[in-house]
Amino acid sequence: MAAAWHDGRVDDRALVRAVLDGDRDAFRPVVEREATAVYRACLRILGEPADAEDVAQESMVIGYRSLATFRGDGPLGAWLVRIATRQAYRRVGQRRNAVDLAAIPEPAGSGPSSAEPLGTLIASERATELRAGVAALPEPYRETVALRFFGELALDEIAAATGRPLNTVKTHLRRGLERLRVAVGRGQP
Amino acid sequence: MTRRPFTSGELGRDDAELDQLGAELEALAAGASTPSRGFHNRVLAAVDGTEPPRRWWLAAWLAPGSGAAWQGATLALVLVLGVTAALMAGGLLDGVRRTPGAGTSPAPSESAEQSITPSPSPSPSPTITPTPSSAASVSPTATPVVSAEGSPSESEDGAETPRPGESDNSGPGGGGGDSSGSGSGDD
Repeated sequence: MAAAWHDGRVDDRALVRAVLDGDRDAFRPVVEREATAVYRACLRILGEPADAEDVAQESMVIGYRSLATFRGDGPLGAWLVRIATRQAYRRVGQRRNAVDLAAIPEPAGSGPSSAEPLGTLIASERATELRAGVAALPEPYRETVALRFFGELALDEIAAATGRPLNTVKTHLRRGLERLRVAVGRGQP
Repeated sequence: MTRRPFTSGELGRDDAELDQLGAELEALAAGASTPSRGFHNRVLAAVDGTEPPRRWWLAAWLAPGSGAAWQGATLALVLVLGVTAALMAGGLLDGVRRTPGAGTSPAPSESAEQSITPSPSPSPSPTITPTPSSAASVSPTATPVVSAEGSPSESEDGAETPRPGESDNSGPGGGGGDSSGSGSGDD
């Protein structure tokens, strides 16, 4: 029983129960399985790999310490990505006081690849604009858009992670995208 | 690439502009690279350095292991206890209002009438019928008529009526106060 999670087929609830029962190593497969997704969500929000790693690590630790509150309604990974999204936007808010978000450089390799320097620059500016536009959305639209596109979660996973009905999530995503479309200059609301 | 390409159809309505915006957001997401080499080990080390998570009673109650029946029973018990406590509090308030109620419960306006009427009742009523002062406040037409027959009875009425009238009046009036009190207590 102690190492039941080692077979890789044990569900999230069993892993969480094992950790809460004192099996610290039971969290290892969670880290190996979910840390990259958590990091990517942070990177897409923050734009800087070093910041993203810091926030992702912080989020995994917060998730570990808060495991007792995980209800198991959805995947553990989606729950961790939600924590990471919140932490990343908290970091964005802290940075915003000191640095203009638009001044943050685009990470290497992000955005559509282009051989033309001008195309790369435009793509980079557009990526920055989009990232800032999402960051400026009010809640819960920001969270929903971020979980869908930066956390790569399906709508039902977002519903489970946030505890909101699926139709509410759809409404939030639609309204969030419509607001974002106006904010980044793509048509009327 | 994202695991699930976005289409506005998943929101229930096709919208070409939302599709385009979604594609841009996915392109932004697609560029995210992998973390640095020792990232997982750093995360594991950070996790090892923190206190292990603990179950607390509410979390244990909400935990996946605890069945829905148990959660429902606990919730029902909490609700019953809450309602009982609210009812008891309301009953206590009623008791407090009614026991010393004869002397204290009347409303300020009624206690003012009482303080006025006792003085006329012992003394000769015809002279003291300056009940107009109280009559002015209570019923201007009744006082002149009754004062001719016997102001004592009127003054006694004036002294007594507040009590039954008080209880009668305070029925709805006090009831209103009670209901508002118990209402606020329930809240």
